[in-house]
Amino acid sequence: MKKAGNEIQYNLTLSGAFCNGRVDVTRDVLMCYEEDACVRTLPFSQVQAFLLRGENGSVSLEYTDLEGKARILCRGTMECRNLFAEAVRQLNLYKKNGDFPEDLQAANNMKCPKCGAKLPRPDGVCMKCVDKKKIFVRFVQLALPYKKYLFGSVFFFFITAAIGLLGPYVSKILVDDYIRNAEMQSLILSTPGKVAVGFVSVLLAMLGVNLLNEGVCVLRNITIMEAAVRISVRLRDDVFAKVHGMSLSQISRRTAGELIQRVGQDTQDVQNFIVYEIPNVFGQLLSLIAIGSVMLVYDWRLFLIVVLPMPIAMAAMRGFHHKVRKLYGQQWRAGSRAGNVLFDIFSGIRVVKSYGTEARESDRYAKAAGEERQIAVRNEVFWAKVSPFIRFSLTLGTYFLLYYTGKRILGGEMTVGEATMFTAYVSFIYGPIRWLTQIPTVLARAVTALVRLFDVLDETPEVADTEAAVDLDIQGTITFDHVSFGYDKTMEVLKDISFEIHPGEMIGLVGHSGVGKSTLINLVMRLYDVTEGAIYIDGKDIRSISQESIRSQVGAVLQETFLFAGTVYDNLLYAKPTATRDEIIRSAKIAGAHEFICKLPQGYQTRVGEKGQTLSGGERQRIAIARALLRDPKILILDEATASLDTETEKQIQEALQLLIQDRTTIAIAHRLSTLRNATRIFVLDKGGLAETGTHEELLAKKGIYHDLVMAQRSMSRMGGGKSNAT
Amino acid sequence: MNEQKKDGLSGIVDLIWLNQANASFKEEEGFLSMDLDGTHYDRVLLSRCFPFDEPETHISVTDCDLKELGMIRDLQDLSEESREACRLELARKYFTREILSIEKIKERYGFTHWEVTLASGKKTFSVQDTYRAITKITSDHLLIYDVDGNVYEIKSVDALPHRSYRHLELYL
Repeated sequence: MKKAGNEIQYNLTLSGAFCNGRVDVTRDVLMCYEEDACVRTLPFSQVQAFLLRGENGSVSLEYTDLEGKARILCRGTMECRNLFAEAVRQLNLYKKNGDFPEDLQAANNMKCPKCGAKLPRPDGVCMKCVDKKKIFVRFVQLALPYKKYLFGSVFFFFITAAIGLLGPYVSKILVDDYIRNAEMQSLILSTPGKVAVGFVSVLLAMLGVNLLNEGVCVLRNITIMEAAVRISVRLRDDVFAKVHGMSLSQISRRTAGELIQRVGQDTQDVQNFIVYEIPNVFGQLLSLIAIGSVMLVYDWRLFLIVVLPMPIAMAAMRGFHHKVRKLYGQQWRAGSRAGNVLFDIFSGIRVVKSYGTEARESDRYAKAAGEERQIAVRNEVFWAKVSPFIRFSLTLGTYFLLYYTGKRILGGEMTVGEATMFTAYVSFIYGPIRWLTQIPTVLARAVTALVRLFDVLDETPEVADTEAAVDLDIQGTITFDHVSFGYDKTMEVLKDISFEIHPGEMIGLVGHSGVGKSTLINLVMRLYDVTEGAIYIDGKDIRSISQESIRSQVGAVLQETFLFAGTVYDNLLYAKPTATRDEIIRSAKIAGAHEFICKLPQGYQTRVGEKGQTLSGGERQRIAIARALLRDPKILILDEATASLDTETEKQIQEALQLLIQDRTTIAIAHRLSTLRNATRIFVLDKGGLAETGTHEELLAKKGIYHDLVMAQRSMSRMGGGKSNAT
Repeated sequence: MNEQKKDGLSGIVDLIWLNQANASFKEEEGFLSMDLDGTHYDRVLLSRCFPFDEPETHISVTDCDLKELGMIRDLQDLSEESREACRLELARKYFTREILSIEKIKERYGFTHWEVTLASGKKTFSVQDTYRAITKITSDHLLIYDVDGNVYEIKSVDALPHRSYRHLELYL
């Protein structure tokens, strides 16, 4: 009997046509139905293993039969990928251990249960259905520790809104009581001193109001900025710490640009939201309410004249905003394309020069720049045509206002001062309208940034220490027990690998490019967790040892050494911050780095660029070896440590490496097999599996893959006479 | 028919050109099989060298370990049965869906949600980082990758209905 949920849905026939298909999984047999008609049955007994194959835009669930022949079970579009991957995993487990799949649908956690949209990660947040209220509640919780700043700034907003009302009111007094007052003319003649005092007092009041307004604005800006910076810095710290806690595979799922965007731009968006948008919410809304109320009290007809055209103005502005965004978005992208072309040409200027293709590259840039120019001209023409109309239509309301107030002044129902005050209030009101039309965009941007940040913060680290994780004093035994691993669900890189490495052994890892050598050492460092099987260090499952403990006792020298911006000394200290200067010099000397460092202009304190451009490849490698030496690792990993060097430098570095590998468990990957001659054993990987193991001599005698590789390098060596001296 | 003008490299590397004289292809239970000079291959894989410019020429034929067995210069060089089998395999491998019209593109929180009409009917899908997810093969020919990795194709932007173009315009 088939269990509920134990079916695999698919949507393509074997020939690639759309269909409504499912595979019913029972204990003995798999049955494929298309449009409810059974089209294939496959007894489990006919299957060796299940596998997943991805193509461009489709994926297929395949199996190997008892003769090892590949066959296909079903096919689907990319929406089926996770389901197929989970099915392959569970069906293989069933074949191996007899654990019948409990719930194949579990893999559907990549889809939003509400709208079915794809989620960024399993059980992640659906950007489409995200509850905005919840996001803002969380945001408020995040902001609560800084409430004194937030409340302080809200208080100042009230004050500025109130002061804002005072300005036009004082103007009204000035105009009505002094400038336009007929009685005042006679008073000036009789008691000029008294009038002057009053007049100056009103002027001083105006000055005072403006000064007070500016002063309160300063206080308001300081408090809101304090709150914003503190919140965004906390968010940035949290996200940064979280990213560091993620496994390499979680980090690899995001590009470096995306991570920088999360830590930098999204937190900046949140900061901007607090600094610029929250003040707007309070400031503009308070202004609207306050001014609206004053106008309503003074003259409800005037209020209607001002308020009624608002929806039309808002709709027009929204439409216009959309158009402008489209036009300038295109211009920005054209500019960005032209910039990219330029960047590309300058980055490859040596190639351009050596091939003499300057004219061709000039044309390429001219074409990209021309496209940008064309769009820019079109936009400017549009802008030149449209902007006078916009300006005119925005001031159109003023004419109505003038007509109305003028008529009332002439009729003696309104004073000139009141008209001045209303005109000022109206300009205050129409300011916020433009902002109101942008509220949806502003809110969407803030929510997007917050959702993305919370998404990172909520992600569970895939490679995490368990509560019972222990620190281990590593002796150096490494055991792989039926280990399988794939970065992508559709592609298993390592398949069922088992071996044991003893303390102090030096293991050479050999195989074609892309066979999984670097993946294997990544697993030893626990940068990823295995998909199947287990890795043990000194008999303890690597997942039960704290990551800090493993990495502090594993040293790695990789093909490309990354030097952080800083001095040579800083870069050496990176491996062991507590190292003394004597230790640093001693390790550099063993690594053969001391001599060239002393020749640098500022010795150990010479600054090296972001990628250490000032140092050659050999020099960087020596620094890497010195770093590894400083760590005194129990397990040493050499991943093509000398591959990018010339023969002479390689020889020198090999000598340094020989000192480094003494009495340490070492795993070394090398394409140049000559560097592995002294290995205790050599592991040959082929098609993701462990194909051969043995000493150099044993493997040569075996005349297998290793033998062929050595022979191929020997013949290359004879042809080139250089680098590839195999043995 | 398949004689190619020899260039300077042909003396160093010779390409094996497959044609109806030496090779035949067959569709077998969802896979493509090949007989080449008397040797039967249960499963071969096809890769277009120039998938956008030359969908039916310069096609590499490999075994499952991606070792090249030969090249098809033009599907016309094969027998009709072989040609159809290869076309089927290529359609499976380069599985793209052509967009005939765009009903709506809605932008929300960094994603765009598309409602389109394909030959097979209406379809909705989501795209992340829309500007990057649209690949311009030419200024008129686009590929769009959705969040799942499905590929959609607009063969001619100019030929789209005007309303569809208005929706798309913002992202071009």
